[in-house]
Amino acid sequence: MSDKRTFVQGNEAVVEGALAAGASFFAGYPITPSSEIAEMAARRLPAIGGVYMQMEDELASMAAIVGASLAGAKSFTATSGPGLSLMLENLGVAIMAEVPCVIVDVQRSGPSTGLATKPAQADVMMARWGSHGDHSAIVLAPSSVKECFDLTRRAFDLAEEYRHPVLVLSDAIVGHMREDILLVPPEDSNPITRRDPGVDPRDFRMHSDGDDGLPIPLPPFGSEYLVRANSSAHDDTGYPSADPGQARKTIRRLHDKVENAVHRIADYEVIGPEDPDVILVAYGATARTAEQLVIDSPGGLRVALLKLRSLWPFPADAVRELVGETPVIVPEMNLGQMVREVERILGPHYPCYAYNRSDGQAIHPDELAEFMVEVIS
Amino acid sequence: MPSRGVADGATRGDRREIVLAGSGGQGLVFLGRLVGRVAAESGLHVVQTQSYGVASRGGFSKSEVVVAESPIAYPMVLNPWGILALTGAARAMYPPEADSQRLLVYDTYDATEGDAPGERGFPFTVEARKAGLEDSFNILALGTFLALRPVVDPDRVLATLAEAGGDLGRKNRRAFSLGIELAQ
Amino acid sequence: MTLGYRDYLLQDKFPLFWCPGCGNGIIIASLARALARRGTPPNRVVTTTGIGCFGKADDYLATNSIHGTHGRALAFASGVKASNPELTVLSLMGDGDCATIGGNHFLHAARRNIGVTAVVSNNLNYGMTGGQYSATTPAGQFSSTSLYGNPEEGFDLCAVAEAAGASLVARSTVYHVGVLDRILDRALENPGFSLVEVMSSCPVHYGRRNRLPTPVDMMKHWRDHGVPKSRYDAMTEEERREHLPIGVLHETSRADFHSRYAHVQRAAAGGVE
Repeated sequence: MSDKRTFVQGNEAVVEGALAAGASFFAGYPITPSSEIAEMAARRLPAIGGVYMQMEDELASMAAIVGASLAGAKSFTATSGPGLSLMLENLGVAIMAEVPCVIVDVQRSGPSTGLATKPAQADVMMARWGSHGDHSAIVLAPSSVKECFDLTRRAFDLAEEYRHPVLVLSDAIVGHMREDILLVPPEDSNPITRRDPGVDPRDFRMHSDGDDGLPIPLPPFGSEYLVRANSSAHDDTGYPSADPGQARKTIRRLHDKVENAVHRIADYEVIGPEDPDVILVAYGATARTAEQLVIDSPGGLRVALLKLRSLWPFPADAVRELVGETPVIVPEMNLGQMVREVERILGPHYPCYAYNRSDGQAIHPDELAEFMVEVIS
Repeated sequence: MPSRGVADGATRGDRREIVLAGSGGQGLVFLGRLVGRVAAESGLHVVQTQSYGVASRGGFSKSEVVVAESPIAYPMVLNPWGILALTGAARAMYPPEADSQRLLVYDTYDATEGDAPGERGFPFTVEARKAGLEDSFNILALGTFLALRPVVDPDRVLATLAEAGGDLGRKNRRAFSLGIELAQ
Repeated sequence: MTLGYRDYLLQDKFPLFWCPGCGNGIIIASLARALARRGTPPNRVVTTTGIGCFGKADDYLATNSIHGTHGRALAFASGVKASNPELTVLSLMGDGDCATIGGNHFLHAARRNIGVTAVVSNNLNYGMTGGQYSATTPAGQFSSTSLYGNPEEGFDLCAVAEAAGASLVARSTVYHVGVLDRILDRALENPGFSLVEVMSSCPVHYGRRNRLPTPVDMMKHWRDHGVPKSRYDAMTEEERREHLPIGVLHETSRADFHSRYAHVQRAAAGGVE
């Protein structure tokens, strides 16, 4: 790969990002608008000694990437909303047993089968809360082909560091668009690799922390360590335990390891003037609409964009500080999901407005500009 | 990681935008990718998007390409400079606009009405058949369209088509050249 | 170091939580003996389980494990095996897990002929949730949700596995332990997908509702019903209705998933598409 600019599709860049991160295993079930990811994984992975496995459904796909990860592979899957609904079951296993893996959801319009080829951003809350029980979530949201590469690449590192499944929440616009980008070849990438836990195998406690405060590295099945991945409540060795004190410790640990690291996980970009009249808080394809307004300055308004590249855990303190007292608009291709979190952290009297569109169409800059000028002026 | 950026994206006036519209199976996404790749390799910023239904063949389908010297914010077309309409239905979706720089290029094969303001019809289907290039009909139309709305240099498109060897490569190059001639 | 069957068991976790008369302990003991005979070290073995009584089997095994979700044991196992074919991968499931909620994964694991040994403890009902009927409960039998007789036919799991493409299909009962030991050896040797169905006793739920209320009643039932395949084949239709063939019922040398995928990897690395 030279440094020549190439013209790449968002879904293809996801696979390039995964390969740059050292991924070697994909299991999935084809679904529009994510299928190009499966197709490219099927072409590329076997060539590097990796595996593409086409499963019977998304339940099996999610289970298989958890199994492959435990066997030592960096694994991922790709789907869309209907498939993510099925994956939520075994996403819970990855959370509970602390198994690193990456799930890419190229969002399409729902509910249910919905508009299969049309975009939406309506899986934001499913990504956060979909799998049952108390848990945290790490969710990234690309808005460009380059970010499809960069964020998928980073998703694998985060999965390894926090031993947690990481979701990349793309959408039908970003997944299918093609843009000029410079790709980092896999050999120039420096991904986090699995380390030896560095303890006596008899003392290995799968659900303990290392010296760095992060979960202890996960040895692969077949090594001298015995690994017990357990979906049931368990002690720190993975052995089942019904003790309430142990349950409290386990659930807290799974939650806190992510929530307490929000300052390390959160990723966002502020684009535009330092003293804006209005701040658009946006992510995914909608961030591109918002960025156009930063350029256009409709109605003479100085517009800034707070582009969220990570959605969960939500960087509440950073967002509060960034917006100050400036009015905020949250445009989304849904009936209002992320805006609930923004409203919640800014308080009930803050000038925070939602702009929503939920008909399988992108938000056009002109409609958002009209809304913005009306509520801000 | 958290960062601050300036709004260095292309203004609306800096954007050159085209729409390639027709029905599923006409290779519209292929044409968009071809133009996009040439733009990227020319050092331009470019975004190609598409819209289609669930059918691989038939139904309305379109591919949009936005080209600019600066990064592109909104990825879809805001004000098309050119529209290539390969079906009557696609042509009907873009009615003429007063005082517009927009040009709509269409195939006269099944057209029931002549040119409206801002429209130019060409006999793509008939010319492709005459030349034995039915399979490259879309490339022929692209040649004409890019000659009139050069969002990228047509010579670079021809060079890119030349990279694909074999019978198909030869046919595509012939078709594209024929399309350019048709525009003269 | 020679390994004994105790090396595969977590004896400090005994006694087993299963009910008196349950067949599950017999199955894991037989499995531990088979692993010891084969000599695969416990750290090279991965056991996947789902939910249900036999879904607790990994609690007593000193191997790597994934205790996953109901019905998905084979899907987890498929990911493990595809990722590292050198590992010995077992899926221990009940009839609810394998034949019912996980039926689709069972079909496809057999179709792929992936190198996993599925050991199914078939006690003809859902034991853990209180004895409801499953996809292997025979028609007319009683359970806590078929109080008037089961309106559905049960699956013949071995026939399903054979039709779906499993390269080794075998059955035993918890009475015929010698047969069980031998077929587990065969299953662990098979590079492709193996089904070992073990007809198991649930006197507390199934037996109590179907005139087999004690552990001994259930054992006698299996003793009288399980017959070697050769004898079963020679039986009349009427006799067959009262019996079950045991032993290896089907075996082929069909290529397994891994050897086929190795071909894909060679083709891809060579640039052949």
